[in-house]
Formats: sequence, structure tokens, C-alpha cells
Amino acid sequence: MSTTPLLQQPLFSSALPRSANLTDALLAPAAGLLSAGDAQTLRAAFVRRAVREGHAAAGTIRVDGYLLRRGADPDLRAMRSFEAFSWSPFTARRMVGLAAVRTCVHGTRRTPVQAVGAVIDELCRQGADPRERSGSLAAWLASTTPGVRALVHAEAVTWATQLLGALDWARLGRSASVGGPDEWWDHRPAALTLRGRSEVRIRLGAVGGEARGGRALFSVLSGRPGKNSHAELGLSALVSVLAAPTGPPPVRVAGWWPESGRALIVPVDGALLEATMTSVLDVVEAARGQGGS
Amino acid sequence: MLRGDVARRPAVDPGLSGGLRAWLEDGVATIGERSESIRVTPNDLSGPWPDGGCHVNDSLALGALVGVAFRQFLSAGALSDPMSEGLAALACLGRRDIVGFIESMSGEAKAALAGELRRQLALMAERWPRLLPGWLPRTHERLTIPLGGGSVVLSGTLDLVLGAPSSGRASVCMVNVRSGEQQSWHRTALGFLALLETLRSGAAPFRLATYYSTTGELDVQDVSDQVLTEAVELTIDVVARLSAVEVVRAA
Repeated sequence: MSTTPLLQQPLFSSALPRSANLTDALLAPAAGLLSAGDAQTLRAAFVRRAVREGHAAAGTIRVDGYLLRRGADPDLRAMRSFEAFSWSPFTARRMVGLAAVRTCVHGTRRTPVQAVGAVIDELCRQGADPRERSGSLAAWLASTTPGVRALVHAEAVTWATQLLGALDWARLGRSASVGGPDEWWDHRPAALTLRGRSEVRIRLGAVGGEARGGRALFSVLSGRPGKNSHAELGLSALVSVLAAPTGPPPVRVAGWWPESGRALIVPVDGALLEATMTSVLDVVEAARGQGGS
Repeated sequence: MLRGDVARRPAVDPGLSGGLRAWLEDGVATIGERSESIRVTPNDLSGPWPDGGCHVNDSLALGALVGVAFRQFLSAGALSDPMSEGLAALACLGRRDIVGFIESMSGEAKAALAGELRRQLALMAERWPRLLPGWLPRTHERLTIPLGGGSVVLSGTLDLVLGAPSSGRASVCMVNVRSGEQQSWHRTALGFLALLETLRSGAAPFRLATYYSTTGELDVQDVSDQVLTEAVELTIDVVARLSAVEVVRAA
């Protein structure tokens, strides 16, 4: 397994457009590829640690990027003060925005304003169908007021415009997959579920002497990079490796914070995955100490 | 007025953003590591709040309603009942303090507020044409710039941004909406936001504007190096002031 030290590469190039720098970094040739054997070894090691440190009786803990970010906060009591999830313009923007970016990238719509409008119209049509699941985004959009829908439109347009401006889509071409379902890894004996989320997944060409290509993962994050950012990025890679150890492995994972204009590119290697495992288990231990997630 | 002549927009100085950041980093270097970040927002540039805080009052409530109404108007055009649509939107955005304040108003005061909101929206509909989708209009764009390893965080929100990311020529115009009277510090606040945008994107915006919803006036200024350097000097002063306040509080 690779023992390359963890690298964090803030993109400080002053060249414009910045989307070209970020796309270059994502598509750069990879130094190596995590082998299927390494992935299996890593998975077995993680399962051993998770089971050893887990207390299944306390209930399943679900770890996602948000929980890892909160885990960097010493005041873990805050983890128990989450409000129940509810739809709002802020929570809806990613799902609507991703669907809109997909249509812009595929050339169906030309601008985020038009694309988001079409997505919201379609969701409202779905939501008005009595067979639609209550609590879904479509059902909420169909039932909310025109003013709130207008705000969802506004938030999603801003989010989608930022993502469209972040990358050079013409160069990424068909290798880029926008959105798609989150990746999950569920392990009952350890009472642990991990969720990996990426906004864009990019297929890379064959790496080194290996026929199989790797993948680059790209995540849009809010705020600014923090203490646990590398672990948060590493989680997407870790879930990908745990869930599909024989699939195309992630070669690098990029985080992009549009609010601060910062990006971090982290190569996926043994060091990153080990560090992420430790962060995950630390957060799990803290959450169990607080009585569950 | 907001997009101007594309050919006349200035070329981006590729070293400017890095230079401004280095200047700011030097300016906040004396702050040192802290348990909590000093957060600087455009409101801090107008001086300390006289009563030590920002409380909901009639003008803040009107400002919040106009803010969401502006976004709703740009997305969906004029709405039939702006007051109830505004309240629903504010509740959805988590501004229950403002919603609670408005709901606790007397019937007469609430009717006056609704009337003023309707008047300002009518003016907005008259003054604002439909923005072309190709200008990439986006609202409520948040800016967060950490300095000094996170000990200082500069933040703000742009009510409206037009233009694609720069490819070497300034391309972005930023607009703030104000529901009160015109004040000199509004330009200062926009200069601060222009500085944040320059640090974030690596390219300065070419134009700034404040839209006054009470009168329908648009105050427009072009971005110059002077606007940005004044914003740096002021930001360093404000950080020093806020830092001193923290020291006194801690003592």
C-alpha cells in the first residue's frame, strides 16, 4: 500500500479563468492507483477497527461529511442539537442545482436560470401527482407558496452558476458525471453507515501500467476549508473504496468552496484513507459517548 | 448601466488579488491565534451599533422583506401578495425573529408596512427590466475570506451579481439593495464586498451599484484600485478595533 504522506494542495494560481486550473488539477496524470488488493486489505482493517471500537447496542451511527465537519468542533454536545431535516430554499438548492447543471452540461438548456426553472416546473408536476411520496422535494415544492418557490429558484440558480463556472466542462466532456446517487457503505456488525457525497465524478484514463482507469471526485462545500476538510474529502474516497473495492478507485478528491474561492486537491492513497478512518472512528466514538447520532 | 460596454472593461491585473491578500495578511498578523475568529461584515464598517447590538425594528423588518422580495421578483416577477409571500419566505430562511416581530405589530402598523412594501415593489417592477439569463444573474451570493489562518474572517453577501467568471478581463457587476436612505458608508460597504470578490475570484469586479428601493435610485460606481486599497486600509482598522473590543471584554 502506498505510504505517500498526505498532501493538501491549495490552488493559489493567479491565472484566469480559474476553472482551467481546477480542471487541469483534476485531469492530471495520477502517480499511482490503489490496487484491488490494497482496497481489500484496507477494508478488512477498517472493519476490524470499527467492530472492535463499536457498540452495536447503542444503535447505528451514520457518518457523513457534515458530521465529520462538526467532529472538529470540541463542543460535541452541539451534535445533539440538530433540528430535524426540513426542506427550505437552502436545503433544496443542491438537488435542484445539480439537475439544472446536468441539463446545461448536456446542452439541453443554455443557462442556469432556464435550467433551474425547467427543473422546478418538472418537480412541481411530479409533486402534484397523488402517488408522490410525502416529504419528497417534489411534494414540498408542489405544496409550498409561489414566493418560497421563487426563493428556491434563486438559491438553486446561484448554486448551479457557481458549479458551472468552477470547471471547464468542454474539456471534461463525457467523462464527467454530474450528481448521481450518494455512495453508501453499511456495516451492521459495527453498527456503522458511511455516506460519501460528490457533486461530480470524473472517469480518468488508464493509470500507469494498469488497464483500469481511476476516478476523480469533486465536491462543492459551503463556507471555508476547516480543520477536518481533508477528512471530509477523504470520506468520499473511503466510502468509494469500501463500497466497491474492485471498481475504478478514486485517484484524487477535490473540494471546492465557492464562498471563499478555495480548492483543495487531495491525492487518494493509503495515508489519506488511514487518516480518514481514524477521523471517522473518532467521530463515532464521540457520538456514541453522547448517546447516539 | 450594469453591464456597460464589454470592450471598455479593464483587463485584470493578475498580481492584484495576491498583493491585496498579502497586505491584509500583514495587517492582521498581530492579532495572533484566537479561540474564536474575529468576523468582519459590511455592517461593521459603519461603526459600532449604538446600543451594542442589531435588534429587529421597523426598518430592519422592512429591509428583510424588501431583500426577499427583490429575489422573488427577479426569479418570478411580481407576486400577488408580497407581504404574506415575504413572511413565508423569511420563515423558510430561518428568520423567525423578524417574522415574530412583524406578527406582533398592531394591525395598523402591519398595514402600513405592507403598503410600503407594495409601493417599493411597484417601483422595483418599474425600474428593473427582466434580466437576461445570459448575464448569469445570481442573488444572495455569500463571500467568506479567512485571514491569519482563520483568526479573522471577512464575510458578506451580495444581493445580485451579474457576469461570468473572469477570463482575463473584468466581467462582474455587483448590486446591493438598500431599503433605507442613501448613506456614504453604503459605498464603503460595497468597496469592502468588491475587495472580498477580488480575493475570492482573483479578478476585481468592474462595477458596483446600490439600488435604493425607497426611491428607485441606482447609485453606480466603477471599481478602481483606489476603491480596493481603501477597503484594505479600512478592513485592517476595523479588525484592530474589533480585536481591541475583544481584549477589553476578555479583561
